[in-house]
Amino acid sequence: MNKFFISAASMVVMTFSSKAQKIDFTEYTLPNGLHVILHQDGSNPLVAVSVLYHLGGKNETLGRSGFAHFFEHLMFEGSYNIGRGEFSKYINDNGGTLNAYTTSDDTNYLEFLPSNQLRLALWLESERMMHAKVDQKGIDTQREVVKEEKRLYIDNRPYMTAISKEIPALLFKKHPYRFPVIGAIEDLNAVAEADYQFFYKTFYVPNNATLSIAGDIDLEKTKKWINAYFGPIPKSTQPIPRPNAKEDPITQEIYATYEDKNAQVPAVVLAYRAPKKTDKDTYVLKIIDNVLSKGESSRITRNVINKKQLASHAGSFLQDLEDYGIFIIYAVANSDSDVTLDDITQAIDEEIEALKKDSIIQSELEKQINNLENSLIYANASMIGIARTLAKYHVYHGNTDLINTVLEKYRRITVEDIKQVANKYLNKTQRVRLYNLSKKS
Amino acid sequence: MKSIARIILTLILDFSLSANDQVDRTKAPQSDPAPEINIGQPAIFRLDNGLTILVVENHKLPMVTVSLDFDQDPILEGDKAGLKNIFGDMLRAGTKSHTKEQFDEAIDHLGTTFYVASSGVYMSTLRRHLSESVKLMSEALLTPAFDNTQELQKLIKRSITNIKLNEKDSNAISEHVRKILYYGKYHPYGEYASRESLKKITLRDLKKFYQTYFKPNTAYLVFVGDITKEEAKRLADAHFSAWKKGTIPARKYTIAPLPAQLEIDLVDLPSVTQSNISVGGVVNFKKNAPDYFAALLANGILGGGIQGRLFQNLREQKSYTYGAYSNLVSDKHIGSFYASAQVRTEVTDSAVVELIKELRKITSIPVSPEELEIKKKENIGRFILRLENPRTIINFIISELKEQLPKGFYQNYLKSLQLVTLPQITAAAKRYIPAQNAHILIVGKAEQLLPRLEKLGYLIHFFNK
Repeated sequence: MNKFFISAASMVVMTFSSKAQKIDFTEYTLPNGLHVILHQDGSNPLVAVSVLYHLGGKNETLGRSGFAHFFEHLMFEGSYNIGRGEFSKYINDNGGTLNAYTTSDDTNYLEFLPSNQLRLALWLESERMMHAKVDQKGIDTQREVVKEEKRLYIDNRPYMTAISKEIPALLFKKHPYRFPVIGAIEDLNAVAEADYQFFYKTFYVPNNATLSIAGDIDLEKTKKWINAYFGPIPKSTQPIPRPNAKEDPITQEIYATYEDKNAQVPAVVLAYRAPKKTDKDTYVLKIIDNVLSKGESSRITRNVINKKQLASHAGSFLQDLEDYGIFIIYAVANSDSDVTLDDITQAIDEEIEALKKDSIIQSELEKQINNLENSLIYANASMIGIARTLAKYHVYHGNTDLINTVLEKYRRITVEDIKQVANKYLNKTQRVRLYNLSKKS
Repeated sequence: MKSIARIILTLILDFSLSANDQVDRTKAPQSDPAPEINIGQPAIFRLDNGLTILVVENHKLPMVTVSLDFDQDPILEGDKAGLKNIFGDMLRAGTKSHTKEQFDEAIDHLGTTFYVASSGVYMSTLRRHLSESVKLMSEALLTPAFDNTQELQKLIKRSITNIKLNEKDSNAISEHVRKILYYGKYHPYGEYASRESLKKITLRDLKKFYQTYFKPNTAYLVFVGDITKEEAKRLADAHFSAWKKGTIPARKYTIAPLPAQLEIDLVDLPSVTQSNISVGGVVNFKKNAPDYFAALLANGILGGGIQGRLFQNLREQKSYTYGAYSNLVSDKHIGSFYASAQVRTEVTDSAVVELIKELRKITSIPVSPEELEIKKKENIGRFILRLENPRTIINFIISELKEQLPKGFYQNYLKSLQLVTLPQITAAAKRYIPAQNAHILIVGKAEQLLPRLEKLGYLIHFFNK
């Protein structure tokens, strides 16, 4: 039996060199196609288990928006060997926590447990993959729960409908990224038995899944258990459909307004279509994102918020997805002023135009690399973080070792790249400009 | 009868057992023996000015977090409510040697994250930038200029906007009204900023706040990560020994009592489709109470997480809500209890009935031995998981020091949990869960809610936000 010391003494023993940040892992694929990634770390007696299914909102058929996420809820209902509601109970009652996320591209199930409970998680996840079971009561309950989730996080929150529903619908015309992951109530109501069967048989199969485990594990034992629990699940023979809709370029600014019953202060959202996750330009956009709004010295924060004081809150974020990305810049006005959304947009545009004309200077680029290094290392401070990152790099980049090398990709970026990418993607004629206004009641 | 659940999705696959399939799938696997837990002690030392330094070494990643945490009584802002919120950003808005822009540029260039609040500071930095980062931190802490009018104007504008932003946010409204109901407007936990109070805040007020409360002898400076005790000592000596000690005023406050019986406090918010319900009140709950662990478990059984009775009842059985939980908050001065859920407007009265029913049940009917055992196991596991974050040990130690806990409180934490008995659970529930005299705070569409809420028979108070 291992002994675990969290005392300072045992920690000093570990290496000091720059190697300390390298994440070692073992990976292999079972005959049924399940990809396995294992990272061993004995510093604490705990383990994170992640199963990533390569299926998300974009795999829904027309008229079934929200189904991938609804299905995620159903996948906690039980299996041939697990009674209704017991899935979560097993994890919880053994001191673990569990969670699941559905995005446009994937569905991720996560368990975090004391390390002596690893087999429990393997049993549960293999049951879910092998023979999940859902009854009508479960479906009716979870459908209502999802509707409450939508009311809670979208319908009754300011700006959320604009960001999650309006923007995607304006930015994409053909690709399923145009639908919100949470879906529409009428679509959730329309789900029928055939939908469940199709979804489960097509996507919840080992050859569409990645199992990643990080924590205090015995590698040989873990491999044996994985074989035993997941090995017997048959590989699916039917093709896994992947949408491949290509969007026509946006050639003229799309202007829209949204009247928001929850918003008391107007806001502007500028949204640009970005390249797919693996594109080298995506890394450059990530740097531009930080240049614009990460930290007090970032350009929008310094100029639009601090100096000109046009906006109370403003920022940017890059949502990098498998087929396309979404780059968003937003700003919430100051309520106590006569500033218009046009004024704010103009101030933001000045910052973008400056990037397009003059790029950034070398020391600003260094700052961004330092910044990214800090956040990349920080992401590896938890076992759940490591398990998730390993799976994503495998699934989307086909290169699990990116967890150790991604900073190099950023280091190769030049100030000239920044200028080029800004000119390629951040043009007024290629964007959506949405004014989120308060709805008068 | 069509009550038999229809099986919609079964994929019982027909395959023969392969040679390596030696597991029994029909039941949960046996767990391995429980891991041994050993909670290490951080290094602790003091500077001459009374500043306490704690160090936890963890060399896995080349980073260090540095934080400063004050041990002080809650501070009343009075007619300048909102000052504490603005104070943090003002502390880094220019020092004796650098303007705000220069300071921001220096911090950001290192890739360092740096947050300042009225109650402390948090910094996360790459190991190789540790010295420079700590130097900047000390500069902001020890030599703030408080001369940046532009930044003060910005922060006041932002705070006023935030008030406006929250006007239709049922969570924000609920939290705001709950604090007023529980603590009163004239208690540090209940007072709130308004446009008027924010506009009164001056640079001089901020400077005065700094001079009154920022003293090393009430602070803990904590280093966690890729650093040794010797390095921490050297950094602390170099950058914090010039900080002058002083006395901080101690304060005591009085609290409004709980209502005599259950009452509904209703806030009208016509724009929402969900009602925000929270049932509770102030309770005198401290970490050093002899029944602390029993109370923790009692609240856990009632409404802790996804296996709590509230979640199971209101979400999994009735699907009224996305989540229902209860909170029993310990506090050195005054704690609180509240059970809450956001439910669709139509089921608000039913949800109130269920919440009250669960509160009454846990305070009057003993929980089952299985329920208690499971809750203990859950809490023990969670405790182990918390140890992943090296800061957890620090939080333990600071809590032991600040809240005057018995020595070894956290060393013995798991043992103390194990020792709790069934009668102790009911006694603690009775003591800390106000099932008979709580505030039932509801934020929602009053017009639609009223007819059915009136039928519940409780006194109804109307609140303006």
